[in-house]
Amino acid sequence: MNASDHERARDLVLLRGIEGISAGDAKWLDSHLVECFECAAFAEELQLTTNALRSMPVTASSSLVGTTQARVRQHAADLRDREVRLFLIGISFCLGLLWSAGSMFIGWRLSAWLAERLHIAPWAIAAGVVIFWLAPAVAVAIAVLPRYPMSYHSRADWLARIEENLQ
Amino acid sequence: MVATAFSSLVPMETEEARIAGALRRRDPDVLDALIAQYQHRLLRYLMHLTANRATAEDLFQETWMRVLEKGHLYDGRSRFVTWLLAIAHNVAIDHLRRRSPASLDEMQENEDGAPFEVPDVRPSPFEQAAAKQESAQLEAALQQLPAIFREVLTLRIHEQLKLEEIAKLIHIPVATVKTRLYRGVMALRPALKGAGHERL
Repeated sequence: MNASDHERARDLVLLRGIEGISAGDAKWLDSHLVECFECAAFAEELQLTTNALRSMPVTASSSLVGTTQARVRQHAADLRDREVRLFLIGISFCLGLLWSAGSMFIGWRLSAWLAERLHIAPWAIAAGVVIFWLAPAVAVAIAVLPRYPMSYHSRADWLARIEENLQ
Repeated sequence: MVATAFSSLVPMETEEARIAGALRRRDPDVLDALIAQYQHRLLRYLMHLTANRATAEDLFQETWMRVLEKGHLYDGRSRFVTWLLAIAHNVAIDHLRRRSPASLDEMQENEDGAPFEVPDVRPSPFEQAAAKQESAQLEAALQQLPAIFREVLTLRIHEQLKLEEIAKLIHIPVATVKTRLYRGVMALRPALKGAGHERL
């Protein structure tokens, strides 16, 4: 009998309860347990532990279950609301993007036509269109950034406040 | 209960696939049924892990919230209970990290309170007293056992998970699961002998 026999025996003791072992392994194990006090003791201790732990039932109270179910339902509703909001924000963003692209194209063509009629240099018209389109965004950024500096913590606070307002 | 309800709706799907579909939809009725169905098993696992009922109850609720949020990740190819216990394991680890970064055992050392409810079913007062004493001895021994051993013991003995399932659930090699089972069982030996538990 060597160390690997004991290791094999302990593995088989662990496996036979749940995974199951073959008839040959069972026969070998039985003969090993007869001869080896240490492995037989482990098999017995495992059985005792199993019996002891199973004799200690733990039950959840009905109030715990009820509270959990209520919290989960509420949270599910919150998540659904958030998804709907995000979907609407996404739709709005896409529509805004389409509108901007379309109006930019029309504005560009219109200004080119005006430049031709009024004999203005094309570069001046192009600069005017770009400034006209970018100026509002730049103005808003200038106004907002000093108020909400984009450091990590302040941005997190800012986003949290926006989230609270949305709720 | 859940199985019966589901099987009447879609008989061709497996139970796990049906649960996965319901979790993706965040179906509140199915979640209610799952909470009711797995209440005792989940709480028992968390109580063995934390050795504290109040903490276990908090983590019980937290686990189901996590199930709701991560439900879309359950693909229905493994048993639901295994996935549920893996979520519970992660919730407990996160809880511990928030409390203290050292080890799972600090959870037990830093908290007090009744770790287990041991219903007394013995008929006579003498036997009741004896049973209480035995249970108390076993409880004390379990609480002294490091959480990593309590965890594998409960997963193996109560949940009857395979060694590979336990290894996957708590992210350790199968050999380590075997070692922890062996050491856990042997560590409980004095308490079991003292408590007079015998082979049935």
